[in-house]
Amino acid sequence: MARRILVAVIAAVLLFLHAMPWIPGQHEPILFGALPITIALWAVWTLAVMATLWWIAYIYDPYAPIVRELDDNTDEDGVAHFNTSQPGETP
Amino acid sequence: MISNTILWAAVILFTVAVVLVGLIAMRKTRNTMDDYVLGGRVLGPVAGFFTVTATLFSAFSYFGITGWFYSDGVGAWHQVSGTVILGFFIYFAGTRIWALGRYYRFINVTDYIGDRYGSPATGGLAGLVMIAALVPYIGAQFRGAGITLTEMSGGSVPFWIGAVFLAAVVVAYVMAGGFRSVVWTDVIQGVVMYVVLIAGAFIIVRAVSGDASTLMTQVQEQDPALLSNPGPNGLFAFPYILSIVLIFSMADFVIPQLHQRWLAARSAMSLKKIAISLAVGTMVVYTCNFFIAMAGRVHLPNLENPETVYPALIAEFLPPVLLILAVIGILAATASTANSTILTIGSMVANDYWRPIQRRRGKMQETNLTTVTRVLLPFIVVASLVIAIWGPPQIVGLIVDITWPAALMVFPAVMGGLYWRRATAAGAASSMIVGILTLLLLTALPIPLAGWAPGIPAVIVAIVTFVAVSLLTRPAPAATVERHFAPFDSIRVVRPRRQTGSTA
Repeated sequence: MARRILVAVIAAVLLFLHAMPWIPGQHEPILFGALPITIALWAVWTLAVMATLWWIAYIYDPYAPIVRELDDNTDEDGVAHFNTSQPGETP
Repeated sequence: MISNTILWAAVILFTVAVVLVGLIAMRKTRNTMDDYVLGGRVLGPVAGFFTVTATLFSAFSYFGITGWFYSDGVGAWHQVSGTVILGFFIYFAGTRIWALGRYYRFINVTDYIGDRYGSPATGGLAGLVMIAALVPYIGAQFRGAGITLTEMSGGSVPFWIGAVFLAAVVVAYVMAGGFRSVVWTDVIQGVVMYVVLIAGAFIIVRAVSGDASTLMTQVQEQDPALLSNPGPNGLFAFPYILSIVLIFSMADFVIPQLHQRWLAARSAMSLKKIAISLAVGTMVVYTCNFFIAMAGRVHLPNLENPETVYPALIAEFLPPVLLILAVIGILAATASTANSTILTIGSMVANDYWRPIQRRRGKMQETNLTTVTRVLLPFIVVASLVIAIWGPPQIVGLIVDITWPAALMVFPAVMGGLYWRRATAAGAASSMIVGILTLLLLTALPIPLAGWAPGIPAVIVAIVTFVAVSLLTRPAPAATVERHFAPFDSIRVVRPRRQTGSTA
């Protein structure tokens, strides 16, 4: 539960940062004279969140077992056949 | 304005290229819905990245977004954040949809909804919502083509000729090659889009201001509000940005032309790569659009229609070869969004409405479905052209106000179906109906929403309705529900095993 709350808090903070990268109506510095700070911060948040997604998808990868199972049950025509011994399976 | 020689060279090159692609694709396409509509489900990560970005980036990206930066400043970049969240939806919910599609051969999102709730009528209702939302969107693409040709020819090519021309070309190659021709043209379009936008941004900024630093100084002198939120017109306040980010990310996940790409992925690995690369690609496009728009503010400060800033600048500053490529890029961008959407709507009508009727009559054949899909395409295009020519004037307004918020009302039914066993057909159907009605009410009436887009309160009402009605109605048969949840039971098996391993 604690981990889920932590994830929810981090997600909310990142969403907030995406929606408000800089204080509205305040003077915004231009980074290196060429890039408004809003866009620079947006780019940083975007890369940070994508790195998180990469970690989830490649390191944690909760879907790995179902993908393996699906690959094992896929025939030469690319059709996957669900294990009919599973409860509730319909023909 | 550009010379007629360059304009027609680009138009002819574009037409020859896409028709050729359509013909090659036709030779490789088998006459089954799986092959014609999903390309045999072998979409790889590179083609996947380009077809998803090409489907997302349309006339809207070249004209609408650049025009938005031009009139309302830096805040238009927030739409990139929508694709960031979309990446999470693609990985988590998209992998589920992809796996279920492999098992049960779904060809679109409405097909999934009908099967998940054991109610083809609920799938059909979702189809109606999507068709009503997407036909104006296709119209916006054709309008983009019309604007391009009119603007670039200095008004000598009437707007409606450009729109009708693009519609005719698109319908020809989609009818011929289906999903394969759509994806192959998307890949070509995607490459051209990145080359033209990046090179265009460099050339235009250099020509107007010398470098980006000088450009920013000039923009600050003209109107510093352009470089901060909420922008010169106060549009990009916190509630509005959050509204658009949420609306676009959720709606993009369920919008059928993109949803078909999740179903068509060759593997879960392809889907992962698309999920991660999408936001990075979007970031590049929007950054280029921003600099082009700011150059437009300095060089052409009093444009009546902000959406004409991109064609006006490239016509003035790009060298002939790049200009031909840019015109091809714009035409291909409008075509690549229209082609996916037309094919999706055609397949939805054939699969969700025609198929049940024929099945009842005992006349159902797979080959008939692909033929029906092909025959439907010109009708969809004509309906879209009517909107393109006689519809409301602003592309951005059209899409923001209608397409995505309406598609968003299908989101609770899809996510509830994927993650909540207790979700029922009545809950899904009522959430769509109540959500759409709320959206129409909030859009039409002058109700103050404290800066939130009408789609947000409408989707909250839809979610509440979905949960309440699902709890009040009889659950779907266990067999129907487990058909959709049992494939994912192994996810739960993994967690205790990992914990055991770590304590050992």
